[in-house]
Amino acid sequence: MASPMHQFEIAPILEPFIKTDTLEIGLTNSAAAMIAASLSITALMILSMSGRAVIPGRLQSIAELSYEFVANMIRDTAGTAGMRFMPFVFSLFMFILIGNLIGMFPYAFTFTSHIIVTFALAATVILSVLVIGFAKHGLGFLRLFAPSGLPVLLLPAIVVIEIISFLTRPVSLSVRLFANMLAGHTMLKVFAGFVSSLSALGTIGIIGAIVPLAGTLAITALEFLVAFLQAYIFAILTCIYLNDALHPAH
Amino acid sequence: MSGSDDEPRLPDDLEALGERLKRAGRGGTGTGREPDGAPVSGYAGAVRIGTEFLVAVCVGGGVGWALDQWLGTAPWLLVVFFLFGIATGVVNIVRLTTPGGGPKTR
Repeated sequence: MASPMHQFEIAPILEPFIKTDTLEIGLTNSAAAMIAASLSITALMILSMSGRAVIPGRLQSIAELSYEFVANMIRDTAGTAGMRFMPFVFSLFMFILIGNLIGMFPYAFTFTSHIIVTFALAATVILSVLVIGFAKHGLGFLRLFAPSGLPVLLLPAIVVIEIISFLTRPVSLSVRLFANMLAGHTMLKVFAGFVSSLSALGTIGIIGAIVPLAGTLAITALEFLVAFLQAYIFAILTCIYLNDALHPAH
Repeated sequence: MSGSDDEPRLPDDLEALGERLKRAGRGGTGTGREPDGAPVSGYAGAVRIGTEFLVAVCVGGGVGWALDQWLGTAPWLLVVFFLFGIATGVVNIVRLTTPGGGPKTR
């Protein structure tokens, strides 16, 4: 039985384009999965909306529903002013969602199970919050760390806590997504591994393998829920953080 | 049997569709949810809480360690910021679990 962690190994698909002693740039399975995700999102959006039917068909419904879903999420958390971030949040949501779903295909690679990928996404979010916040409010953005109407005695402690809380955001954002995908897929592989190793033991083993098989089935269903839920949480937290950039003082 | 059942049910279906359209229309105005990141569904909130506390403690400790390296005050800032990290974790969870986004101390 292959190791349950084998599925997360990064393997080159093409020979590296650029190769020096310290640097290797080439097409890996992770990069290929990301390209596949981007291409399928683009294809889905362009092809499904090419008909522009008044009564949408199935594909057009998918595109319209996902648009409406993200648009409502932004309006509810960041208000109508947040709608200018629609392209950013929609791209993030679809990239993570399709990335998670591509990982559900057998033998496919889940690029969201690598913390460097999720941290890059989270760092992009937090850096844009910082840039937008300082660009819109100047130094007034620092009010985010100093709530109004607080006793002067408490202020230093609260400011430290608020700054640590802000620094927590990119870490928790990336760790949550990465840990969920990593743990889910590892669990799936371990349970599926029990099925094959038990059924090799003969009749009693095959009967015993029914339990992990049922478990594998249940975890697969759970993983589809997690794939959607984690993309949703990542996107809605992005909206909440962007709202902080628009309105730092609470 | 089923054919005669279908006919009278049709107006009900249309009415139900009208209801759903109305509800969808209201949802579109976007006033359904708490604006401050209160958990939308129980499960989504529960999944968030798990990492929130642990990450806050780790980040607090990490900041303290980095400051110690920079200022050469090991191990004191690590200890202090570790405690601040715990406080941050508690604050994060209180904010996450209180409806309406928790006490407005940000």
